[in-house]
Amino acid sequence: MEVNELDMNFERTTLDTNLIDQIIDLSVQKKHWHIMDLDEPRDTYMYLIYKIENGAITEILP
Amino acid sequence: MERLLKYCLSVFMLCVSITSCEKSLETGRLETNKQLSEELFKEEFGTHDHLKPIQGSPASMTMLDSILKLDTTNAAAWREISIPYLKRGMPHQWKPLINKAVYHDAKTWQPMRGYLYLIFYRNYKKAIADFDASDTLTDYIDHPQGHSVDFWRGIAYLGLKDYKNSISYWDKHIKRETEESGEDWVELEAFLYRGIAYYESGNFDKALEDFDKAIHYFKQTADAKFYKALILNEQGNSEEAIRMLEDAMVDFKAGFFNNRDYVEALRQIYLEDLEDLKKEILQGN
Repeated sequence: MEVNELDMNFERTTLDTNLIDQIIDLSVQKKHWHIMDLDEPRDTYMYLIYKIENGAITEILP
Repeated sequence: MERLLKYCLSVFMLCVSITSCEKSLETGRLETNKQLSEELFKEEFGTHDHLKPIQGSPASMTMLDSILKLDTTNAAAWREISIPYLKRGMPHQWKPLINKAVYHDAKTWQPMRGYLYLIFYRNYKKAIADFDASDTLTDYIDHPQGHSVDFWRGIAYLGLKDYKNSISYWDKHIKRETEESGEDWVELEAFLYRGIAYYESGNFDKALEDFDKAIHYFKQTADAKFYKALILNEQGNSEEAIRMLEDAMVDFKAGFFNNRDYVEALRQIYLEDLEDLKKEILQGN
């Protein structure tokens, strides 16, 4: 898993480690995903962007 | 001595001549490379052909590298090489590349960058800045991705919950479309989003006018019917709200709801939203 910590100008920044751990934990929980029914295993790519303003998640993309 | 001077002058003239020759050769080489870069780009990326390398594949990116090596000012190629990063959620890698496209051809790519900021990253302020810049860059109204910059500003200001500006740009867009082509040519999203801006700002009467127009012109629209059901319910007309919701569900299941490729549309609704509202209304009765 790759995590990019960016500011609103899309420049690299450093965010609070606890916050990132919480978001990762929230993101990977199986109950939050609809698992695709495939005949055979396949490599997939998925990204999530969390917009955080004043300490609160305001939008989840895409 | 005189002969020596003549030789000196000849050498000088020769040097000048060689230098100017080198300059013209260099200019010629640059022009040839520019032309080659344009031709190659047109050939490889000018059409949507399934036989061409897939966007973002190593073959496609290597080809774009070569095209840009021939001409580093090829704005369309900079834009094209940025897109795989955009679509894969890598804004920090997308931005420097799209910025080069804008740097080399702002008239074409600045309004388009605004659209990309808006739709892919919901960066409303940066999107608006690019749409505003397009007002002075060109003496016509730009239409990135097929809609006017006023259309996109209507969405961007709604994203910011700046309802006054959102409605103002929707008014401008809808008025112009109506004058130029007739109200039945106005996009569904224009009525829907202006209606949502009115709804969220508490003006239910004006919101209903827009949702009714969307339903009138497009017939199948789960979103307009969902919002109309919300208003009907808030006005105490729960029976009509349920009927409207059931109609919205039919439209939704038939695929008539506001959505986009790659990303979720702003204020996109889901079947669960319709079902939850129906339950809520039934429980309230």
